[in-house]
Amino acid sequence: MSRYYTALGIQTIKEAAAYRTNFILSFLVVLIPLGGQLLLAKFIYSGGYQIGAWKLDQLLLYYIIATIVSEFFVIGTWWDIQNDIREGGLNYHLLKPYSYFWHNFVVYYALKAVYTIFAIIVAYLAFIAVSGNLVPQIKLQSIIQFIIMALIAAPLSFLITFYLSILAFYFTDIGFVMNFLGILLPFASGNILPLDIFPRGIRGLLLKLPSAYLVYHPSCILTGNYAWRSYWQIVLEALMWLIVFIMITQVAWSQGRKKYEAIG
Amino acid sequence: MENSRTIRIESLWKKYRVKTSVSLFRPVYKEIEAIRGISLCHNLDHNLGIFGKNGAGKTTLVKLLTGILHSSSGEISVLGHIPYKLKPEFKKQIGLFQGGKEQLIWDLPAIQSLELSRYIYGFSRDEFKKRITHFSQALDIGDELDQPLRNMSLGQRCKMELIYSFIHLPKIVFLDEPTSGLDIITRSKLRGFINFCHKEYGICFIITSHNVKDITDCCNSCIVLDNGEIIYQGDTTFLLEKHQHEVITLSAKSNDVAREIAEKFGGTTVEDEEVVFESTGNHSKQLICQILAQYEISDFSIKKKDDEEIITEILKNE
Amino acid sequence: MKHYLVYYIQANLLQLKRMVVYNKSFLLDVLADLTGIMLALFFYQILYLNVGEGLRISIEDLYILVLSVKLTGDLYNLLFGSGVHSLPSLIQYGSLDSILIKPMNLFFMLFCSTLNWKYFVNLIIDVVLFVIIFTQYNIAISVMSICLYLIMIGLATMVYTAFNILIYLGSIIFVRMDAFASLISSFFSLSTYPAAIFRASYLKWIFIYVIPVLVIGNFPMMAMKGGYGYQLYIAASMCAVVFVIAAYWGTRSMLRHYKSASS
Repeated sequence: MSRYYTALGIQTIKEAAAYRTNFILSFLVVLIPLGGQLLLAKFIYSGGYQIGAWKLDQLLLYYIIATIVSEFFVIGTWWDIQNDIREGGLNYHLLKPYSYFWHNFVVYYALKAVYTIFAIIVAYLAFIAVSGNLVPQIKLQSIIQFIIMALIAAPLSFLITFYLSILAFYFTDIGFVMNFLGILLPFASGNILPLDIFPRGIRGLLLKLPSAYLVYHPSCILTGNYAWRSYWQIVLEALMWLIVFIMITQVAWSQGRKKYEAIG
Repeated sequence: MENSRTIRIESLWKKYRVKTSVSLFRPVYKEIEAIRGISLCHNLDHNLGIFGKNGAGKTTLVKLLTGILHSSSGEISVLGHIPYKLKPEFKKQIGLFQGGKEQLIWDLPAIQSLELSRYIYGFSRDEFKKRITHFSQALDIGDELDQPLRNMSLGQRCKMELIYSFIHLPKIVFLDEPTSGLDIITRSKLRGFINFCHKEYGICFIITSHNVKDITDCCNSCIVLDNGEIIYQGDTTFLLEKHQHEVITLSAKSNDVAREIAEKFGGTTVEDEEVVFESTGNHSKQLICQILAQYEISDFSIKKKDDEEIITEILKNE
Repeated sequence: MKHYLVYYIQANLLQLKRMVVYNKSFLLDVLADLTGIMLALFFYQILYLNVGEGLRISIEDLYILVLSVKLTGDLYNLLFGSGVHSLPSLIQYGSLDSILIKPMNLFFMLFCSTLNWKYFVNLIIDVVLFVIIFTQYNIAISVMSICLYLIMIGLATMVYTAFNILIYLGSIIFVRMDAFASLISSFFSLSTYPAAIFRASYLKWIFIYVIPVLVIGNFPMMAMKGGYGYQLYIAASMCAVVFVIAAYWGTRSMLRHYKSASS
């Protein structure tokens, strides 16, 4: 079965590469808001002011990383799954000997992998342009910490996406979920502002929501803001969210399947 | 004044440029000639049908006549106007119905969107009501008018769109594939309606259709388009008669007799003592009388080709 | 003229009826837009709590900036949005045909004939938010400053509409380049930042005359604040003239090259 997933992944990447112009352009779309954030930060710091405990270089690096990471771990409803459920394409998948979940997982991240390569290249250029340094100041320890975190964040992000998409079993029009998430997530995940500068009450809440483990914490880890001890605590919390979502996705899937069969 | 009741086309060309290679820097273009130097003069007292295969240039011609498309060269004058200038006075006098394209608002009762045309073309409410009753009687529409379009069948929607395209009673209405996708009964009803409007309101219809009957039933004049050129222009009945073949099949007593008849009168023998004649025009009766006078025949039949077969043959031969 | 007005009112009353049929989703959209604007205001509040004067502009001015961007966007979407957005599909599916043969002005039919009522609700919300901010921060406003502000918002809406028409025309010409169109429109995410952050003068120039990001938010805010002299209005008017002419010319040439899709 693993050979099927590999082949599927390669095929998806090839498909994506066929539309490379659109692909590169759509990444540049993300870069423009990033440019605005960087310019605003530089403007504030040029007057001798400081945002929270962040030094300018650190903050610029944070913004760049957060942009890439939130592209990779962004949550949304996924139209493929929704359409499968609504238009009956799911029947076709269910008869196949692979798992529907892992099939989508591979397609989802194969696409994102291509995307991220572009993202890293462009973001690195942006980094040089803004900071003037050729090598970003990232410690090896931070990279190791980040990789471990990413191994949890990746399935977590996909699980949430999958969960939201299979809500289509229950609600006919869940496009509005997408709408709201698109507005709330950049804020709640720490993509617009680092979460630690929020007012205390809101900060406490946002830091514990799953969205923080997808963007804010990984970005902070890579900019070198955590010692091992506080790091493990965050990993543990992320793992707890992962388990929670595995469970509710299981329930939603099996209940939804019953409902789906009743309709179909 | 004579000018305002005619369509006049003088060596009209329409060429398209189509990209053939997808190269980013040096795209290669190919020129396609959709209409190739046609000339036409049509009096608006008669409806005009346009025959032609797919891609013969029917729809392009209609779009040139309505002014939607710009011609590459040549002259067009419709009702004394140059169509592509799209003057309001011109547009008030034409209507366009394209089968399969919908203009009315999907979620609202048909009558409400129909009334919008009252504001576009500026006629009174009483007049609107009068026309609607008139049209609904002719088309056999009941309380569907108060239903939203999304609840209607294709045939009902088609009727609504048809009404919408000429409720302002223009002088010319272009019907591009008006009956595509409709069943036989609805089709014949629509044809009846077209004839009704022609007689009652003096509307001239220009019809393109793949359903031959649409044109033979409604249009006295027709043109046949092939590959962007007009290959026939004139009376529809004449066209049909000119290409009408009658097939006479005779059964002789024996194979020998059959062969003899075939040789003498120019027919072909087939199996089982049968002779087949194909004749153009009205010579069939004469021929049969002649044969009957000389030979004993056990059976004979005369079969006329129907309009559809004739048109198919014309289009195939060109 | 009267005949256009009657058509406009009747057609849009129908649109209103139509929206009421689908009221559920339209209310959710309004709610989503409201959430968006509240978050944008919240963004500056958090920054202000952290760096105070570091933004070198008062918090109420920042709020007015954010609201002005939304007001311009809502006006555009209410009056012209549905027409402009349906441009590509009109061309692609050949439904432009039926508009071309209507005996009414083409530009009117294409861009202005359909109101998007959803944004009418948004507009009311905008006004309420303005009133809240004015009373909260005791901002003294004169009739003059409101007039100047409204003139500037009008110009901004013109510029924004013309620019959007140009973007959509571009996406029609370069088929499959919708990513290009969304790239250009994503520049407008910069419109809620104060103009001062674009320190290079060429950036300011670009963001006024090439991609008019500053015109739709910063200009109205400056008009409301007052004290910027007539140059501001001249710049805005010039920008409006340039973009409107470009959009007019672009639409004309698009229509000339329109190849009606065959049925």
